[in-house]
Amino acid sequence: MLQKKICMLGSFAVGKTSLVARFVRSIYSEKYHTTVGVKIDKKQVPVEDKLVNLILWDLYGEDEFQKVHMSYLRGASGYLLVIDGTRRETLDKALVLQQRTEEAVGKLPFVVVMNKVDLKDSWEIDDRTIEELVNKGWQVFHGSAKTGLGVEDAFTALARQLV
Amino acid sequence: MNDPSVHRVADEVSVQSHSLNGAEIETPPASAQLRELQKLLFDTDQQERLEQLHTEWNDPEHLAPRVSQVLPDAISQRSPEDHELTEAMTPYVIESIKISARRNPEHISDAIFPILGPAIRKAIAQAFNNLTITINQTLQHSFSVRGFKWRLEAMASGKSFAEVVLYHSLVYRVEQVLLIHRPSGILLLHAVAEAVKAQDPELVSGMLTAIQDFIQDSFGTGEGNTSSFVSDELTILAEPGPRAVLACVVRGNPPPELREEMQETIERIHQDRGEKLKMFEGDSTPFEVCRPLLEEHLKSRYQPFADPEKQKAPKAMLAVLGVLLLALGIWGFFSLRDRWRWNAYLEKLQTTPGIVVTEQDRGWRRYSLSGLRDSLALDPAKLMPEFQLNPRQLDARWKEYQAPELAEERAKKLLAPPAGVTLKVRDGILSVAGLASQQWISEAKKLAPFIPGISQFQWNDADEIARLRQEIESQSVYYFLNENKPLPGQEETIEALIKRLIRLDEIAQNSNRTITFRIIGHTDSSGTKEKNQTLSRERAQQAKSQLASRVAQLKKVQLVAEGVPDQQPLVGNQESNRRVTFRVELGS
Ligand SMILES: Nc1nc2c(ncn2[C@@H]2O[C@H](COP(=O)(O)OP(=O)(O)O)[C@@H](O)[C@H]2O)c(=O)[nH]1
Ligand SMILES: [Mg+2]
Repeated sequence: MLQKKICMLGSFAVGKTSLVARFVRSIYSEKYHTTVGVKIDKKQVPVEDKLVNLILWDLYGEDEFQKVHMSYLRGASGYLLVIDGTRRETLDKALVLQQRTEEAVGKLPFVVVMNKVDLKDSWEIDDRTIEELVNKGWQVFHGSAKTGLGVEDAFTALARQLV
Repeated sequence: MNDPSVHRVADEVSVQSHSLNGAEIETPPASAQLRELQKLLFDTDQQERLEQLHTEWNDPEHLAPRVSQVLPDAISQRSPEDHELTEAMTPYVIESIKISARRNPEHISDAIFPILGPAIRKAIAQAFNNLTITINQTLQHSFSVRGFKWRLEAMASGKSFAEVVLYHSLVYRVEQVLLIHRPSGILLLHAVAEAVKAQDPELVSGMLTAIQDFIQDSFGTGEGNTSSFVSDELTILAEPGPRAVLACVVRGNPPPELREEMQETIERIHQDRGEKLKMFEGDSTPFEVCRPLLEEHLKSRYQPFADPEKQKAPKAMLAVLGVLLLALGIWGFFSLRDRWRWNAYLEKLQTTPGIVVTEQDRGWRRYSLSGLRDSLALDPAKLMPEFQLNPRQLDARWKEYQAPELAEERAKKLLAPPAGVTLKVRDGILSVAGLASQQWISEAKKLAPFIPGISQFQWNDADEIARLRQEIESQSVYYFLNENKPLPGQEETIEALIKRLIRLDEIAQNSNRTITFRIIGHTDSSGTKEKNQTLSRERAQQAKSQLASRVAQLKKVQLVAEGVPDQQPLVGNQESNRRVTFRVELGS
């Protein structure tokens, strides 16, 4: 079985932890995350006729933007870049984050999740902006950790890039 | 080629050729060799060749290939005679190693890791040997604090000193061995001791790596340090190599030699599988061959600390006596303090559940107490050392009684709940929640009303059902395209489902309700509606019979297989839709 380390990236409260929770079942309680600062989960996803074991790394806490350092990214095969559609500034942060990550560990496969699509009424990011991302060659998914929409697709699309 | 030493060689050669000219004039042509020389000198053809030779000697570009031909021989002839050559070369060699290490430390560390390990180990083993000898000697002469403590303990308990030493000796069991890729934290190989339940080793290995990173980041210890994590019962030893970490999960006290063995193993693995580690892309199959190496560590050991034969040292007795005398002196001196301690102790007893003091008295090095005591309450004598009082001086008379405030402890003691089960007593009602076997629950139900302080038993299964349900419904089994054959590698998922299914049945029996376990087949959106109808049903059927074949008779859970041809697929990704999902429905 193929195993791949995946990192969750995005600024605070965009829904990284919620997306992982939607996607997997975890054995670790909150207590561990606060001390170590990272939460690890796994999930099998099918890619064609094979299963890939995604080992998902999620940072715990608030100042995630500061904390994206090497030890978290080292050995990762790809990452999920999460943006909160209801907060425009999380997009700007994501762009910086993506660049920093590339500087730190080189080009890696990744997908973008525009999260909280269930709150489309209070959306702050218009379709034109998203189109710009797509034109850069980025794979963008609309998703909701709350309803589950698009979550699995985003993860499996990333897995597909890894095999 | 501007090495000054080469120029120097050329200069010397030309000087010699001049003196050769001088020699020809003075010396008579006695030998054949000399005649040859003459011929050489006066023959113009030869003269040209000589000049050519001369320029060649002086031209480093021509000289270099010639010198290079004889260089190895020259060095090998030279070196045994003296150390000059070695001395001359040493600074250059050192410099080049320095430069290489600076440019790419990985090369050097890769190269020397297999040699360095054994060398360091040897040195450490030597140091350890010396240490052990010292410890043994100290122990026999009882000059160590531990030796003293153990001797005192032996005297107090009436056991032999050897017995006490054995009691304190190291007992350990290596339960799990993990080989973890660096730096990704991905699990390469996992060995488990028999009858040990290992939970999600993939996550454990990731977490271990994260913890190591955390320690490194937080405390700035250097990269590649060995580390250990200790809890009450378990110790995790991590032994890092350049590209993989070996971790042992040990119950009890891991002995020092385990570290050495682990070092050897991680070195072996780097030697044998170094290239595979370097090229690792997520496929752990090439490391399966290392399994025997890992399994070697799965052992338990009982390790006597010292030879029981050699424990009789009269000196030790004298030392113990001396200490006792000293202690006695201190005792007298501080006897005033005793009164205060005794009062504090009584106060503590008053707040201890299950103890009621009715009478107390304090004399010269003698205390007496009487009252009521629940057998589950703390032993009043054992509380005394906390207040620096000697329990041997206590004369206590207790009447047995069963304190209502200890009903919960009593229930815990009598019912022996399995790990993860919580017991709570409030207003005489014992409520129980968590994971327990059917047998335990029905037993507890019968016993509970006979426990003083408890009138009712309540089993709370709502939490557990909710959890099981969430766990079951988050699972999927995936299938090959157009087939009702599951993809390989899903045993873990099936295993988890079966475990939970069995548990669900137990709970349903216990609370006497029925549960429907729905097995739902899905298809991707390719193919006709009719085809997908059949395929989705077939997949559900397949999953159902696979589950049914693995669980014995289910009493209260009904398995239902049904197909949902996905005209509206679950998700966008086609292969994710070729699956079976599960629903838990609670009946009355
Ligand atoms: N409405 C809505 N709320 C969400 C969604 N995803 C996350 N949230 C909420 O956003 C907050 C932050 O989520 P969290 O997963 O902790 O974000 P993280 O800091 O990126 O890990 C929480 O209150 C979540 O309940 C979503 O898709 N829809
Ligand atoms: Mg989070």
